[in-house]
Amino acid sequence: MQVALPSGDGPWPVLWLLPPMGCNHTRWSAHTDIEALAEKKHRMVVMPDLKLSCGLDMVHGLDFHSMLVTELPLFLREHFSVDLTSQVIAGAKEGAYAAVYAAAYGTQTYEQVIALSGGSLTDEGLLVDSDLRFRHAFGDKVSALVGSDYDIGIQIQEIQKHSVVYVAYGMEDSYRYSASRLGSKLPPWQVEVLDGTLGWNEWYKVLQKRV
Amino acid sequence: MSLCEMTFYSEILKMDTQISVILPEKEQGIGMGGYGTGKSDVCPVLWLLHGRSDDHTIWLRRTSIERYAVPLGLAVVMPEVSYSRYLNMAYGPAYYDYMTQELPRLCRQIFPSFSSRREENFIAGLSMGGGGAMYIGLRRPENYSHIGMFSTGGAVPLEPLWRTGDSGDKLGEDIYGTADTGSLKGGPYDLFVLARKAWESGMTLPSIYHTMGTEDPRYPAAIAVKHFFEGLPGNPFRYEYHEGPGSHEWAFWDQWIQGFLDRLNIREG
Repeated sequence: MQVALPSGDGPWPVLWLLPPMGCNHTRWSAHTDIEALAEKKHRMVVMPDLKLSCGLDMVHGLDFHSMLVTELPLFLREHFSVDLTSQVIAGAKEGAYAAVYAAAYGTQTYEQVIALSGGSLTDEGLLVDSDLRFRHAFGDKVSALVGSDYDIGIQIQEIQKHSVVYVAYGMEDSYRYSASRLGSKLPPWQVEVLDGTLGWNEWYKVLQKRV
Repeated sequence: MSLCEMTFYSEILKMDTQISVILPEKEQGIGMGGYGTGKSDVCPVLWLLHGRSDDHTIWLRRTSIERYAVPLGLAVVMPEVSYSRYLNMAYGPAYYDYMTQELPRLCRQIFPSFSSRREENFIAGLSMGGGGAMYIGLRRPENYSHIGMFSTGGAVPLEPLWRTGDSGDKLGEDIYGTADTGSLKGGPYDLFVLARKAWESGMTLPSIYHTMGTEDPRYPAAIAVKHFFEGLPGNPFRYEYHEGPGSHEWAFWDQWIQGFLDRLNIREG
């Protein structure tokens, strides 16, 4: 993982930033100004590598959800001056799914959950069913998992009891359908719909505004 | 030596991956000589593979591989492959294709100094990495002149010889498509089958340098490998077996990687 620390003394509250599938822990800092974000928000920004897991304990693969919600917070507490009473989690595309999934089923409480360009992957049907990587993570066709524990849209009301959930997506985003479905369960002021396809620049601007 | 840490998107793996690359330099900093003058501008390459719990950084962190490689003017490439055993996983990315197609091509494109001559390419690894080195080197003998296998037990058909109890069934199923790795004996993953095929192909064969610690639980697997290769008439793989005190540990591998490098007979500058 990569960790960006603001200047000055801790303990620092945390911003978890989760990447899209196929991107590793270096991509947020490679494509955006993460250090400036850490400085501006005075948060430790933690960027783990979730490989091809979508933030799950993979059916065929390793337990990335458990790593994210249990092991990494413990590691931060042991080795850094960190304030785990104040955590924000955000992610882009499959990372958005991972962020909401972590809020739904994890052991941490997040003040904010920010889903960028994605919602529940179970809503995306054929778009993800044709990609074997998703089947390795979910163990089945993802579209067959609507209504299951993998369907994070079902969990939104429960998550909202503890966290403020934001969704931001572009009208041309590949996951616009699931993002809009997730947004439909939120108050309008927590949903941001933008023109075109969102990328690293746009995601960074949303984080600057929302975190 | 220069140390390069690279992140790149693999088309075969369909995700970002990382490698650590040690590059030879003629001059070094305090405490070390370089590899001197008179060397060509093309450098030999060691593809150095990690074990199951490790990644592309582990050889650097646990051994002094950079210090051992310097006098030889040797480039060292250290990839990360998760727990794949360097295979095209049944439920996971195609790491064998990555290791044999994409990674060498990418490295030679980025580092034109890398030799593409078989005589100057070597592959070695610890534990899972030793099995990977054997699997890749035996299937592609035209690409490597030396194979190094250190402390390997997690490869077909070796596991039933030493493993008892829970063998990580889920991971075996992810890799092979079955948790019963014993059932794979005699099939396309079997190192002995691969060795016979390579031998019978008539191709020039890599030499095999094999080591195992006498306190390592995998020791019975090493003896089986030793018997197999020493039973081949004429020792076509110029097989060498070395054992010594030690368990499944880095002190052992830090020692024996040096032995393997000596075996490569790369003249110091």
